Amino acid sequence: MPFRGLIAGLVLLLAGCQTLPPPQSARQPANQQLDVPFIAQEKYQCGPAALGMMLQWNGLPGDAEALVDEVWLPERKGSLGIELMAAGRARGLLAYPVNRPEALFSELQAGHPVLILQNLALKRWPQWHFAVVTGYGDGGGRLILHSGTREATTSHWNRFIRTWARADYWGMVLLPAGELPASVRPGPLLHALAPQKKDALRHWRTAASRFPDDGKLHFAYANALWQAERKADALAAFEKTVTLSPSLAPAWNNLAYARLDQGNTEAAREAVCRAHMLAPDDTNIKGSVAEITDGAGCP
Amino acid sequence: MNKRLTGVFTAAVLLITQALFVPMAHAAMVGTDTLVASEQRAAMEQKVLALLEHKAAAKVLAENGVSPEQVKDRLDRLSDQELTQLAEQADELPAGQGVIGVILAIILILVLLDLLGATNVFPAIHPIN
Repeated sequence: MPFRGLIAGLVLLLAGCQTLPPPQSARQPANQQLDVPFIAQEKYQCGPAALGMMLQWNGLPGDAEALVDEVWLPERKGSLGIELMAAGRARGLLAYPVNRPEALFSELQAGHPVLILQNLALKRWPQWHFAVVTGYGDGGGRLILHSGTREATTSHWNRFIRTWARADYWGMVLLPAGELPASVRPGPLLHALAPQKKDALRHWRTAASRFPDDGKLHFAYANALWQAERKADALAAFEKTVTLSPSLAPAWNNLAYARLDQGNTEAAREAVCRAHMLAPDDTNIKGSVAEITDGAGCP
Repeated sequence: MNKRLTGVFTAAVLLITQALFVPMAHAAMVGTDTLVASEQRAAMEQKVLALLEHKAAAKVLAENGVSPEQVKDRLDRLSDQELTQLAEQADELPAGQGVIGVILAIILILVLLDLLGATNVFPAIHPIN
């Protein structure tokens, strides 16, 4: 009788080892190899090394030694993914997440190396490792990585996907302004660019023209124009935003200020009252109403 | 006497600084990060509210005399951090409706109710005003 339990357990264990095959999209083309500078890691410092390779691929200085201070935490003997993203952003690059096998292959096919996190050991006893995927072969059957001290090392799909899955499929591309990931979608792009400081305007312009119907990306683009003191352009962009997303209260609020700035008080009042109607509990918008209507309030 | 004076003085200073730091009803352009933050908060609230769909939820709420509407109305009392923690734990609940899943869901719902000040099951949790 106890055997039955044991067998059931074994079957479950084996089922746990089964992995999905590489996605269909990896067959066309069946091979891809990118030219990415290699930096061998020192000690446990795979984070700075992987980041350095991504920066050098972007034509930026990427000395791993210099990056250690920026993204390496001595007490953890490691780096955090969010810090690698922040380091890319601070250099004016878009840090965009790559969290699915299909997206990984799309990026490689578009010529973008992908920095990924792997857990090389067990879920409960993790051994985290950052590496850069630089290509693949056999229709996705093997991955090519710059990993640790090994340049262009090969990892079989089964092993790779398990180690990546144990790290919750954490991954990212780093791209300069004017370029977008092949797997880009408007929602994640908004979230990826929201903390962007350096080169923000160029990034938002690219985002808005890639998704011409997306109200929130146009809202962000308009805000970036406003911050760059290009107020007439910002006004036009806010006008476009409210035609794309008529229910986006913050857009009406900002449009009101942009209209006010151009001397159009009446239209500014209309816009701010529209914002208030859409979001009656929003304290910021309540304040805007009081300010723009000189305390008169909305009809 | 001296002590009393100091007390009065401290109280006065406190009052004045408080008056200075009362948040002004601020009116301004809404930044992109503000929009993104409020979107993220809304997504978290959805995850926490999904707890109320759990089969154990109706009973727990009824036993404590709380309606789902009251929970929804009070959700903005939670700080972003508390909301995130609850949402993460709600996310990690076992998908099945097994015994452990039900117990964990009940605990989470009780924590939520405590945080909202609707119950006081866990004395260590102080409701948010």
